[in-house]
Amino acid sequence: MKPVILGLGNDLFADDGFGPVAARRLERRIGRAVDVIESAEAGLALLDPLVGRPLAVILDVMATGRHRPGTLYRMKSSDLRVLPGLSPHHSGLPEVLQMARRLHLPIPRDVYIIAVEPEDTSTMGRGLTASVEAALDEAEAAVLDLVKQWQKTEKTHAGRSEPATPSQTERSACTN
Amino acid sequence: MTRHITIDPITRLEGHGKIDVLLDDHGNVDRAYFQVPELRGFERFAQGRPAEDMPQITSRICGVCPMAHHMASTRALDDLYKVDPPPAAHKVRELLYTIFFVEDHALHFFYLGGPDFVVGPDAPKGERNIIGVLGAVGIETGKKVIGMRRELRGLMALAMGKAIHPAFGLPGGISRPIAPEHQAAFIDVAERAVEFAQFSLKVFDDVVLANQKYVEYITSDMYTHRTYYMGMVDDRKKVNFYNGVLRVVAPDGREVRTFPGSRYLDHIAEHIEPWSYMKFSYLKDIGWKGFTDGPGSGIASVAPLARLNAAEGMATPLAQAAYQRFFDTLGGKPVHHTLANHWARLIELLYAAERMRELAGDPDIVSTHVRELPTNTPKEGIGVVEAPRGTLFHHYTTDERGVIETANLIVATQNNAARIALSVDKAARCALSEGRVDDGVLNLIEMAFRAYDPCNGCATHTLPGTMPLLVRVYDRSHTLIQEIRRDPT
Repeated sequence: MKPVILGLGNDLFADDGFGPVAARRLERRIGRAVDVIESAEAGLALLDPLVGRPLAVILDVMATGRHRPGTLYRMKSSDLRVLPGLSPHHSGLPEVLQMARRLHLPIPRDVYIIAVEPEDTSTMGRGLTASVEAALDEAEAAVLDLVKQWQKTEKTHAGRSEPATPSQTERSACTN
Repeated sequence: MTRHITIDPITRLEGHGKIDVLLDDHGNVDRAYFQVPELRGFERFAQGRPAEDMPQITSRICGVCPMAHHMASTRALDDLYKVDPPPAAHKVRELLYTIFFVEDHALHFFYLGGPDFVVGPDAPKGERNIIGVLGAVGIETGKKVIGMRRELRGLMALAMGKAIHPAFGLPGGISRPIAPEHQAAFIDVAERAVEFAQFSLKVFDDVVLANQKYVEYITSDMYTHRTYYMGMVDDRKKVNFYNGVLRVVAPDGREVRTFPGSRYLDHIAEHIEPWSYMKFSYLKDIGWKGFTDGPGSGIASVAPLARLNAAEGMATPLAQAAYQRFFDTLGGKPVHHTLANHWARLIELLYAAERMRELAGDPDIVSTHVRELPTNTPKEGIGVVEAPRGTLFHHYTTDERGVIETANLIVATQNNAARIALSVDKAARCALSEGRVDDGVLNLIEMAFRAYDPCNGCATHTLPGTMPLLVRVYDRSHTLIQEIRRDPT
C-alpha cells in the first residue's frame, strides 16, 4: 500500500478546515506515489485510512490555548498519551492506534502529526483565519519533508534487498 | 461561601459540553449546569443555497451522525416539494438508516457504555476506555466489533458510493438504485448483524445484569427522573426510526398526544437560559416549570429509553422479546432510570439489525424506480427522523425556485437537554458531599450524561487524545482554591 496523508477536520468550521485544505494543496503537488485523504470523522473511522499503510501523516488542528494561532506542532503518535474518553465518537488517535495494535491490525509504527493552533473552529462558512492560513506553507513543507525522508529510507532498504516488514506488505483488514 | 467547580474539556470542546458545579457554604451542591459550545452561523450559511444541497451540507455539520442529518434533510425535501418517493426509495433509505443505527449503537455500547459497565465505574481511570473494555471482554470480541463495523461500512459504500459527502437523498427519492448483484451482500451482512446484536445483549446480560452492584446503579434514585417521553412510532405504535408520527407519554406511561412531525411547532417550545447556548425543548401545553420532573413539568426526554417508553413495542420478533424482558425486569412501563438507556440502546440495535434483514431481502430494494420527480412549487418543508440520540427536526422555507430562505434544526441533544441538565444536577448532588471531589465522583457525574450520548452537531475529531478533564474549585471571588486534573495515563 502507498503512504497516506490524512487531512482531518471539517472545512465548514473555519480553522477546523486546516487539515482538508492542506491536504488538497498537497494532492496537487505530491503525485500518485502517496494517497491523500480527507476525513471529518473520528474514533474507529480513523482506522480505515491508516491500516496497512507503511507511512501516515495526519494534518489537523490542536487547540492548546497556550500558543498563538497559526503555531505549527510536529509530533509522532508515540508522543501522545491515551486518555479516558467521554464519547465513542471522540476517541482520539492514540486510543485508536493502541486498540489497533492490541487487535494485531497492521498499522504504521509511528503516525506523524502536523497540527496547527486554531483561532476559531466554530463559525460556519468563515474559511481559515489569516493566522492559520499563513501556516499552510510551513505545514506543506513539513509533510513533503517527511515523505521524502521515508522514500529515501525505502530506497536504501530496497537497495539492500531487505524483506519488507509485515506492516509494509499486509493488506488492510479494514480497507475495502 | 459559594464555590464553583468546572468539569471542562481543556483541549477542544468537540461538540461536547462542560459541567459547572456551584457549591454552597457547606460544600454541598447549590446547582450544577451542563453547558455546550455554540454553533455559530448555520442559518446564514444555509441562506441562498439550493434546498437540494441541504442533505450534503447538514450531513457535514456533524462527524458523529451525518446519516441522521442526511435523512432528516431528505425527508424535509420530500415535504418541501410535497412529493412521495416510490416504495423502493423509502425502503433503500430505511435500509441504509438501519445499517447506520447498527453501527452507531454497537459502537456506543462497546466504546462508551463499556468503560462504565464492562470495565466498571469504580475501575482505575486508566482502564475506563476501549483498551480496558478489550481487556475485559477479550480480543476476539474486539475483532468482532471491528469486523462488524467494516462490513456495515462496506454496504454503505456499495449503496452510496465512496464519495466523502455522497449525493444520495433527493426530493422524491434517491440518486441511485441498489445493483441486483449487491443484494446478496446486504442479506449476508444483515444475518451477521442480527447475530451480533444478540451477542451484544448477551454481553450486557453476563457483565451488567449479572452484577448486582451495576443493577443497583441503574435503578438508583441518583439516576432516575420521572419525565415525559417522546419518540417516533409506526401505525401500530411500534418504534420506528425513519417514518411515523411522534408519540408522547406521561410519567405514568399514559399516551398524552400523537402528532405528525410537521406539527412540531404546535407541541414543542424552546426555553432559553442565560448560562447556555443550547435551547431547552419542552412540551408547549404543559409549559416550562424549571428544571424539575413530574407530570406538571413539560420536560420530555428522547433517545433509546424514551423511544421504548413512548412506544407500545418493537416491530420485529427478537427485539419485541427483548423489549418485554426489559420492562419486566425493571418494574414495568415507563422505566425512568437514565442508565437503562444503555440496555434500551442494545434492544434498538437488535431491532435495527432485524429490520435491516427484512429490508435486505425485500425484492423492491433493487427496483430501478427510485424517484418521483418533484413538480410542485416549493415553500416550506419539515423532516423528522429518530437519530440514534433522539428526535431530529429539519425545517426549511424557500423561495419559489427552491432557494433556502430560513433553515432551522432542532437536534436530538437539544430535545434532551433539559433532562440531561436534570441528570447532571442530581448526580452532582448525590455524588458530591462536603466539597469532596475526586476522580470517582467525576465519573459518577459523567455517567449521568454519557448515558444519553449527547452530541451537539459540530463535532468532528480530536487531538491529541480524547479529552482530558479539569475540575476547578473557586471561591466566591473566583480565586482558584483547588484543581483536579484528569491527567493522561
